[in-house]
Parts: sequence; C-alpha cells; structure tokens
Amino acid sequence: MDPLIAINDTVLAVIYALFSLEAGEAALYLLSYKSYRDKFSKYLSVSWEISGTFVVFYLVMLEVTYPGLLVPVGTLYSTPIILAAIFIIARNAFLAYSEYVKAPSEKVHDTKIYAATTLIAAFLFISILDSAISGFGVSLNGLSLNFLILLLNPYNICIFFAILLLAIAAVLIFFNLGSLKRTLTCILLSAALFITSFWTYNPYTFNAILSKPYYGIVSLLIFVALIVLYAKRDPKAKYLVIPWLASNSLLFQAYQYPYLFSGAINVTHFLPQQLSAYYDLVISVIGIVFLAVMVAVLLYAHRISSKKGAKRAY
Amino acid sequence: MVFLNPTGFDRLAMGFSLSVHILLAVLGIAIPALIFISDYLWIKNKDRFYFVLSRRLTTALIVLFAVGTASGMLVAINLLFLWPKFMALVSNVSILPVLIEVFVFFLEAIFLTIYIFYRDAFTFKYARLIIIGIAGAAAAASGGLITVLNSFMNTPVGFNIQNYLQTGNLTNVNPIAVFSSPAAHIEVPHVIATSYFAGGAMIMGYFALMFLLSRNKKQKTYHLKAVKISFALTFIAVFFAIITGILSIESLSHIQPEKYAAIELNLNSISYAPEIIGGIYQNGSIKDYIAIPNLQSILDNGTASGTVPGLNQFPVNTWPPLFIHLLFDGMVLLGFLSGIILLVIAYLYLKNRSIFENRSVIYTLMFVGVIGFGLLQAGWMVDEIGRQPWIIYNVMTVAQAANQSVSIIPLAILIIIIYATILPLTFIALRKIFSRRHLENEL
Repeated sequence: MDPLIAINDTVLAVIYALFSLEAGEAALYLLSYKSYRDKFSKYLSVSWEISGTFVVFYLVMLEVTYPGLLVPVGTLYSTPIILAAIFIIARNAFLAYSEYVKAPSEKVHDTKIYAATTLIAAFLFISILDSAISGFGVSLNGLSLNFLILLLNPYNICIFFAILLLAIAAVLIFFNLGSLKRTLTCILLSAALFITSFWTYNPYTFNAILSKPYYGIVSLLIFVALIVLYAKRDPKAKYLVIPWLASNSLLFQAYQYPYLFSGAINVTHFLPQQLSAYYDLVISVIGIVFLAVMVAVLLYAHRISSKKGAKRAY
Repeated sequence: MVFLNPTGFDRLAMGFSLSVHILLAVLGIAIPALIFISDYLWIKNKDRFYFVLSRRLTTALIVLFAVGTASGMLVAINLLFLWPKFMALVSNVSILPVLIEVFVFFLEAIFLTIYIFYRDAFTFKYARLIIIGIAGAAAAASGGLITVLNSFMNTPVGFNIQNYLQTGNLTNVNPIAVFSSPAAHIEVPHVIATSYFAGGAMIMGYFALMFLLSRNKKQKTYHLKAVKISFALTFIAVFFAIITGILSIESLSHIQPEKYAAIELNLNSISYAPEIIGGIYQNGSIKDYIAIPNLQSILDNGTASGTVPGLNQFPVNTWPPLFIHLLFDGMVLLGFLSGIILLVIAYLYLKNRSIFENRSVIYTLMFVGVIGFGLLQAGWMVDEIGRQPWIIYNVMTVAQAANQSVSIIPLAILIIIIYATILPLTFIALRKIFSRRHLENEL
C-alpha cells in the first residue's frame, strides 16, 4: 500500500473512532438525557475541539493524497459535504453554548440539539463514504448525484445503524456503563447488520472478507482483550476502545483497497507526482510524530491536573 | 448581471466566507496576545483586575475559536467545491503550507485546551504564559501559512507555467518552491502585523465603549486597564502594518503590475508619475482626482525619474475592477490616520497618565476600533479583487477554476446565509455569557 494512502486511511480511522464515540454519546443523550447528563460532559469538553480539527486534517490529507480526484469529488459530493459541514458548525455552536453559556438546569435543550446535529452530520458523512465505496446514488459517467438515493438506499441505512450500535457499545465500555449482556447484544446486532449489508449490497467487500479473514486478527485480539477487561469492570478497558474502533475502520479500508465505487475506480491512479508525494509524506510523518507528542503533553497535563483538582481558566 | 451565473455565485459565496472568517481569525490571533499580557501583569503585580480580564478574554476566545474552527472548515470545503480545478493544481504543486498549517492548528487547539483546563496544574509560576504563548504563536503561524498559499496565487512558482498553459500538464513540479514565492516574504509579515492591529483595535474599541457604559468605579477601572493593554498591542502593531504595507506596494509594481496600476489608477507607464488621490475611470480617462506630482515614482522607485506600470500596457480583459483604487486610497488614508492618532495618544499618555479617562480619547479609540474592522475588510478585498480576473496570476482565471454546475447556486446561497447568521449569533451568545457574569462578583 502506498504510504500516503496508509496515512490517509489512518487519519480516517482516527476520525471514525473519535466521532463514533461522540455519535454514541449523542444517541444516548437523546435516548435518556438524565441518565447520561453528567457522565459525558467532562470528556466532551476536552475532546470535541480536537475531534473537529481531525476533520480538517482529513480534508487536507484527501487533497494531498488524491489531487486527481478533487474535480470529480468536488462536482459529485458538494451538496452532502457542505450540508454535513453546516451541521458540524451547528454541533460546535450548540456544544459551546450548552457548555459555557447555560446554567446547568438550562442545558437540556442545547445539549439535545447538539446531539441531534452530531447524529445528522455523522449520517451525512457515512452516506458519503458508503456512496464512494458502493457507488450508490452516483453516476460516474455523467458525474451526477441522486441525493435521495445517496441517503436512503438500504445499504447506507443498514451500515449507519450498524455503526451506531457499535458506537453505543463503545461508549458503554469507555465510560464503564451498562451491562456486559447489553453491550454484547449491541455488538452482535451491529456485526449481523454489517455482514448482511455486505452480503446483500457490497459483494466486493464480502468476498474480500471471505478470501482474507486473517486481516481481522489484530482487531479481534483487541476486541477480546477489551471485553475481558470490561467484563471485570477494569477501568483500563477504556484505553482499548479507541484503538479497537480505529482498527475496525482500518480493517474495512484494507478490504476495500484499492478500489472505490464497487471496483470502478482504482485510487492509486490519482496519487500526486513523485516529488510532491515525497514531501507530502515527509511533512505528514513529521507532523504526526509532533501531534503524538502534543497529545502526550495533553494527557500528562490531564494526569497532573486530576491529582491536584485544578480549576478551569474561565 | 455579473452574479447571475455559477461563477458569480461562487465568487459571492467565497467573498462572504472570507469576510466573516477573516474577522474570526484576527480575533483568534489578537486575543491570546492580550491574555498573555494580562496574565503577565497579574503575575507581576498581583492585580486581580488582570486575572479577571484574562479569564473573561479566555471565555470569549473559547467561543470564537469554536466558531472559527467550524468556519475555517467551511472555507476549506468551499475552496474544494467552488474552485475544484484550482484545488487540483494547488494539491499537486503548493499544498505543503496547508498541510503544515493543520499541525500548527492542532498545536493551537491542544495548547488552548491545556490552558483552559489544566494551566493551574503546573507549579512553575510562568507555565500559563508559556502555554498561552505557544497557543498564540500557533494562531499567528496558522495565519502566516495560509498567507503563503495566497502568495502563490499572486506569484505562482514551483512548476513549468509555460508548459502548463500550452498542454495542461504539470511538469518540473517543486512543492517547496511555494515558501520562497516572491510575494510570500512581503505578504506574510504584513498579514500578521495587520491581524494584530485589526484584532487589537476592535477589542480596544469594544473596551472603550464598555468604559463609557461602566456604572461604578470597579467596572471603570477594569475596562480602563483592558483599554490600555489593547492600546499597547494596537500601537505596536500599526507601525509594523504601515511599514510592511509600504514594502508591499513597492514590490507590487514588479510582481503584479496590473494590480499595481489598478490600485494607483495609472493608465500609462510613465516616469515622474504623480500619486493619484481619488478619481474615477470614465471613457478612457480619469476624472475628479487630486494629483501629487512625482510622488508615485518616488515611492515606487526612490526617484522621480523611475517608471511605473500602466493599465494600457495590458489587455483590457485582464484589468481588475478599478474601484479598488478608491478602496486602496481609503485604506491608506485610514491606516495612516490610525497611526497618527495612536502616536498622539501615546505621546499624551507620557505627559498625563490619566489621558485614557478623557471622553474624547475614549471616543477616538472607539473610532480606531471601527477603522480596524474597515481596514481588515478593505485589505483582503484589495488583494483578492485586485488579482481578478485571475485566481492564479497569469495561469488560471476565476472562471476557469470555478464550479460551473448550476447545482452550486443553491449551495452558494446557503453558504451566504450561514455566514450572514453565524457572526451575529456568535456575538449574541457572547453578550449572553457576559451578561450573566457580573464583574463585581468575579473581582
């Protein structure tokens, strides 16, 4: 696999992991705000801005990795991507508003609007990715998009709910909530939806899974370790949630590689020129190492702050 | 009518996006600097007023940063969907500043998060200064890196332009050449200086207004201290902005002669060129202007015998809209006026430390705040409109780069509506936050 594509896919996997957690939290807020009101706000306060920045990171990585795809992508997906961006703006605004403006008793409506806009943005992004994988809603010959088919085709609906169920399970594990039975039920239902969707609507992916099942070993090992720790209610389980979600995404992308639109397009044909690709790779690697150091500094600051019980600066 | 086509709507949507986002961006650059100064003064003098000022500025920064991040993401998306052919070229040739900017932006986001939630966890007394200093430097660096991309649009480098124009193929690509494009070393310092000036001036104007509206001594003292530190930032920045502005116009005659000629409303390439103040182009000549003899040649070349470019050297269809001359004149006039006003007030302050309590001075500072906003908008308009019809100078026109699909029109209208509402809603939200937080309780 081309190293730029590997970096691009990794960034997408991290976004998937971070936003899955957020989508799971959003779904639980809408299902039962009172039960989860105080559980997620501390994590969200720290993480939401960084999650949003990863979206910008991915957008730029797409431009860096596939410059040849920008004209068709720009023509095809302008409507759903701009709509998704608008819902992300609403998500940012209502989260900031509920976090910093409202008194605790007044936060309900803004938090629920934040949750709804997060889920809508997630649905739009998943629809775009599903369309790029399956080709649903898109005519490559005429470079046209049918927006309703993009959103409402059965493959997309099934995948969205499969991801949402997995996200809810991930949230329950991350915050050490719920029961093992309920969490495993979510995961099994999600797996069933994924497999049924691939078998019915995405035979390319289904056949790839059947022919290379060993790709899933790492994801499976992380999952087993995760469930064992969660069953024991060990708080260390939360450190495996994001790697597990990210590994699922990487696994799926590995099965898809190198094709999009049900095998119609080979992405390796749209990479940048050699010298550009070299510098892009160097900067990306240096940047990712730098990012890892910054995140380590953030986690260190969080750790020493938790010990001291330090106050916020605003 | 120019806007009743997809390209026109693309322009309108992009213009709206930039005019709103640039405001959020400069506030995001200036406010960390003010927080730094407040924190330093609090640590040094143990003055509670500066502690509270730092806290309240931080609250404002959180909201503006949240909205600014989302707005910046939408601008990035706009670039991709409104100008896909432009982005296809940029992605192959000059994407490195944007890629680096992502990591610099992470630096800003993470250190801002550390400052907001964890700054008191560190025992080192000056830790908070280091943290907000890093976040602030990253904000300015972000602005600088985006300006490097803009400088590529004004002076494209890093590929064989002649071959591209003839064949459409990109050859001899050098992706790091963008950092040494002729416009970059002038544009970047000017943008950073004007960001601190405009952001500082607007905040100074706000605190000046709040000083006037103060109802008791504590509020007056607080707002006066805020006025003074934002004045200091604005005062330092305005002189860098003027110097870099003069250097910008000097280099412009060589690197973008049509833009220069349009800004100066020069029809013919002449020596002993006068500086034209005001004036409108009508039927092949300029009317209703004041001419200062030889000044333009002197400013551009250092000598009255120096030659300046003229519009008639270039095809009419490459001329930018000539109203930018009036915009530029207004910008220069107000820029120098701001500098003089700030210099006079600084001089008066040395003579009389209570000068900032004078109502006339306060009204003047409010006026400078409004000028700051006006100069900010005028500046980017002169740059972008002055480059028309090119999106990449002498390489790609705006029409060539634009998304010509009719389906972009409703999206462009939606983008305009979003940007038209995002700013008032942000300021309403900030107003609500601060109306619930009584200053006296915090002090």
